[in-house]
Amino acid sequence: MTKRILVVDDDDGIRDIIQFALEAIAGWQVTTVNSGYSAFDKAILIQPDAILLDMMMPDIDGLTVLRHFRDNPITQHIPTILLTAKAKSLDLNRENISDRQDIANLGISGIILKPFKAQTLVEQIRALLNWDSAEC
Amino acid sequence: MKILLIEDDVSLSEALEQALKKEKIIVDRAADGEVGWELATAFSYDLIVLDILLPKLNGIELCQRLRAHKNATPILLLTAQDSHSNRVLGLNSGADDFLAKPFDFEELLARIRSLVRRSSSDPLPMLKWGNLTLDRNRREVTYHDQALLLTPKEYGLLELLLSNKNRILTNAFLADHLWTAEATPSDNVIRTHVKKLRHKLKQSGVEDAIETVYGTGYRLHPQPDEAELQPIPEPVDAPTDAPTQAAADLLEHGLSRLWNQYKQSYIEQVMAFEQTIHDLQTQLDPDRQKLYLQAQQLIHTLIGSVGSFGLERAAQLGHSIEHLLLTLNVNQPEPSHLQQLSALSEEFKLELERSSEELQFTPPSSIVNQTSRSSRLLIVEDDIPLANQLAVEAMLQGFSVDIATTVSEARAAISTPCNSVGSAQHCPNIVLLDLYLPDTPTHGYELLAEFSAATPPIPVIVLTAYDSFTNRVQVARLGGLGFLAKPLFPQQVIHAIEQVLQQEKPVGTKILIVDDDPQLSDQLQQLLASWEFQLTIVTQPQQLWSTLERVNPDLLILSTEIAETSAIDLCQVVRNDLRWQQLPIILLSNSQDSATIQRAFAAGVDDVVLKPIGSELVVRILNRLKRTQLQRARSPL
Repeated sequence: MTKRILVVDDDDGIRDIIQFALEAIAGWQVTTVNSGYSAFDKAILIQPDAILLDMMMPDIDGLTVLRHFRDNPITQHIPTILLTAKAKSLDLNRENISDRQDIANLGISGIILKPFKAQTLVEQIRALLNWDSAEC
Repeated sequence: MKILLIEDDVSLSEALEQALKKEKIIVDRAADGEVGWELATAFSYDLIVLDILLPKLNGIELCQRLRAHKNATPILLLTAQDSHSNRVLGLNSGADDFLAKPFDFEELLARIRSLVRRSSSDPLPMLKWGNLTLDRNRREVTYHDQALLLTPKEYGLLELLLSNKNRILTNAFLADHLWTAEATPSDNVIRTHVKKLRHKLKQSGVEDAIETVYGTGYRLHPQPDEAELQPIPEPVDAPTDAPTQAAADLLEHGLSRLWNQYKQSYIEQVMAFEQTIHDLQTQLDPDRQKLYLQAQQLIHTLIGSVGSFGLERAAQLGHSIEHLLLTLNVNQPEPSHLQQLSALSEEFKLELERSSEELQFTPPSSIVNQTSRSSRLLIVEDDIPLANQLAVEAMLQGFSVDIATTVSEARAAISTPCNSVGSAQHCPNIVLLDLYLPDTPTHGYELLAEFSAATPPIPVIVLTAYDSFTNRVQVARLGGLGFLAKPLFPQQVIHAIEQVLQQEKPVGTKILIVDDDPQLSDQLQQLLASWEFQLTIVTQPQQLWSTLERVNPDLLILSTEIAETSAIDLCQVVRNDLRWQQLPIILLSNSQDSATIQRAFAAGVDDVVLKPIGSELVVRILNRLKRTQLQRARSPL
């Protein structure tokens, strides 16, 4: 079956790159939304095979969206990959630590750091989700 | 593209037809299974969209009947119930895909496109003829990146011509593919559409694309330059790990189109950043803090965006700006510091402006290398919450992460993927090992030994709550590269791993090996392969001298099978030359005999490693290099 991917990012360019790369290379069906609010509705509606979720968005941040996903039985088990920039190494402020603990507890399939390479994005996602390249 | 829509809910099928028409798709409609069957057998369609619950003949039966009659048209089943059994039934009856109502319209379209593409003999999302490009995903036609405005019929005509190069398309074929069943066109009508398409192509500068074959039909002219115009095959069905050249071309084309579309908005973001920096000079304290954070966020996001478009130079500039910003004293910003920031962001903006047509893409071969170079960390830890936290932290630093909670999982993680050909990138580059695992009496020590003995050896850093001198010694003996005592923040653990990796990758360190046993040479090369040393192997002791001068190594390894003494003599000779007195020398020895070893040290050997060699040698090499480095740092010579 063709995989369905939901991409949540407020950056129009990033959304388009991801959609283009995943459709052109893997033939996956990609739906994109530009905000945390619409992410939630869309995820329930299309129930994708995986979600790529930006961490920093103006309306609600990725962590809150992730929490909502995990609270709802329909979206609870959808593998989610976070999109974010590389963290500052050894950044030990309290908020930081608790956010990361939350992410760990909520469960994610992986993190893709921005900037990413469009050329290897599909491979990266397959590796994180253990998808076999011969099948999807 | 022409679709047969079999759906008894008239309002839905009308809405769908309208929407599909907007996508330049031609739609025939049938309201029951029998009519659907007649249309499907009488005409050819690119796709059948089929409701399951239909009067007269239901969707599953129709599907089975079509397949039994060798009709291979792709079928997308629609149903109100999204139950698993329904799905299985539908797919078993020969449908290609399945969509549950209520569905998202965009999703239906995506599936339609994908199905048609998959089944088409020419499964390309991009069709090209010279500089004329037809993008099936976006349903756009461009010539030299200038969009052509085509009607649905003109678009369909061009698509058929482009996907059937070298083939004459008859009027009947065109009518069958581009018109609905009720509206079969006359030859005149077809001619008119071809004429209009030709006219629009010509207006945009495309000369002579369509040839009329009198009495037969139409055909695409041979291309002006065949080599340049090879179709780009879509590697959808090619299960390769590495991106193919074709996929890279396709992406390059797509990325540069997207970049041109978004360039201006990113340039505006840089201008917003410049304004923020400017305001930092003038604003009062409380606002300044806010502006500062805003600036940080702006540049951070920009780096992520432009970098993802493949603009590496711009991303580099962005990193410099970010770095400069982080070192700014917000409360009392130095004017020169701010000026420097402004200058850099101006340069950043210019870089984006320059970037238009000539995006710098990394060729696919080096991309593959870069992916495999991103470090893969295996976390062996039975405390699952801790393992997850470590994983998140590691991923935020760019690691790929695997977690093993038991000894057997850890073994599996290094054995299965690493031994299969071509999957070296799935092997961990480094392991974080908790020594106290519940399912083993020997704790992690046994695992540590196994990782160190693997070929190539896998560096291990130990994390444990039991910090004792004995444990530390044992870990060091077994080849552990680091010892971390709990409790530590996950951030600290990953930071330590990063540091070890940085330290332990003395890229470009030159090692000269004197060895007359080819088997041992192979073994050495394998063992040292993952460390990016520059190895030079000399098989004749006589060649040592000239090679020493040519290579100027950072470390010398001596091993001769002929006689132990010859290696020791060799060492003596090297040490007698003033130039090589500082050169670290490691002797690989067969003999445990203390007299021999003493003689070796007396001759100036720095370290003796007993054969057979294993990961211990790597540890000793790294150790020796580090010591030498420290010594050099201390003495000005």
